[in-house]
Amino acid sequence: MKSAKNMRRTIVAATLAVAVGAVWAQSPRRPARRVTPLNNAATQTQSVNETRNDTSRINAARRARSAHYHREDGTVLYVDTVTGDEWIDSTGLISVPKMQYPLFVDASVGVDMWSPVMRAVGQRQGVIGFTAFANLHNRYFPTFDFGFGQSSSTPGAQNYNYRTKFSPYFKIGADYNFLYNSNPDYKWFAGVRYGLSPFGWQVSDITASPGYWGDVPPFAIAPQRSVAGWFEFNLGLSVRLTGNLSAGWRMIYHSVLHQSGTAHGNPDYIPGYGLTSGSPITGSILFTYKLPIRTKTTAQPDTVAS
Amino acid sequence: MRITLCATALSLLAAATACNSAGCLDNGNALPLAGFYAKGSDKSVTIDSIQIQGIGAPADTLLLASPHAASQIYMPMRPDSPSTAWVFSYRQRAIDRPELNDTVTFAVKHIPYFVSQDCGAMYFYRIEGVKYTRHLIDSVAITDSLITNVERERIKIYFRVAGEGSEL
Repeated sequence: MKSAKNMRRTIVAATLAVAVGAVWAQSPRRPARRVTPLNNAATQTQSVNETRNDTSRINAARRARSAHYHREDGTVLYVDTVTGDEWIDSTGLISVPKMQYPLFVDASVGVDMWSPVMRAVGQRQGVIGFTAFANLHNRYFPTFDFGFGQSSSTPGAQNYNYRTKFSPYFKIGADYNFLYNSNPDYKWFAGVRYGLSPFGWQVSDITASPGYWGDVPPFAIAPQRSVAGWFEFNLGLSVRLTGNLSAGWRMIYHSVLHQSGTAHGNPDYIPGYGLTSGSPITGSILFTYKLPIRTKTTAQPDTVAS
Repeated sequence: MRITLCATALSLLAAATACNSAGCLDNGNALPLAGFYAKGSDKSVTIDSIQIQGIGAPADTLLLASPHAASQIYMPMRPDSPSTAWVFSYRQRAIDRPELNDTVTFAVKHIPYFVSQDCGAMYFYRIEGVKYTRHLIDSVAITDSLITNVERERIKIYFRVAGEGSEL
């Protein structure tokens, strides 16, 4: 009885299947749907294989499964919770070279011979400069410069005589010695300065070519007062010659920051700076004398070779 | 070897400091530039057969001689006097009559000025007043009273013109 019922169900199901198949066969043919598999075995393993040796990913994965602790010295200690390995994040380590010289090493005074030398070869401006600086850790050199400037010139093919009174200038700034842990007899440094000068200037014997109105009587610009400030960046070298005497030179890039103009124009020459219409590059030739001051601590420097 | 290196470095440094600026890029004198305009507009006009002469110029020299036409002209100031006067004569046939001449007088202050090492020193001028007759000139405008060596039109002279045409 039960098998006859199953037999009847099978026959009905088969009949329905045949009928559905016949209907499907008579319907118009539909285009086959194409599917491009986005995730297959290759795409799932390709990136893994390509980044298998990527250190940053390896470390990132390692950190993800790690615990970390901040140590007293500020570094971060990582502990791999799977393997138990410990390591330090080396990117957080900052190595500060130890100072090999005391805070106050020595102090020096010197003279800047740039202007006298340039005067000797034809320049018509400048007088002389002096400098004084302290040596801190053989690394930092706070510096004070002062000097005097003067000019009197009639530029070639020009129609005037320009004069600057004998006037002072002052500079304050610092140098940084790149060879700070080496022998102090040799210095390679960079530095900055701010310079200031109050000075007087005048222009005389101004002549003009005859024009429509005929000859032009000579005229002049009466004495003027100005104050100018400027910025300097310098690079230089210094070596000890003998005893406490050293010599060096520096290349200076400078730019006027401010100057008090007058109703009769801006000055052409600033003591301590030079010609405002000239090159922004100038120089310095320094002879310095290390003052015989006894310091509390006498450091033994590394050898130059180290 | 060290001496050679030091000498070379100092020579290069001296050469670098010797480099100067590019020269004077403006005029070598302060010359006022005047432009001609039609009355009541900013339309530039060209004046035909105009003659301009400075009063008191050496040998009665003409600044601009007819039959030249002009729409702009440099009008130098007298370096030895606080005023500079110009006579405008019109040599076109219909208006070539002395009673139609115009006179423009500038009152100026002379300012000795140091421009730069390349441009030198010169007079700048401050125009403190202007007087003019109004025969064919309608008005004179000063757009900038300080005359420097920078080339720029600072004086505008407005003429009565016949019509829309650009000539008197």
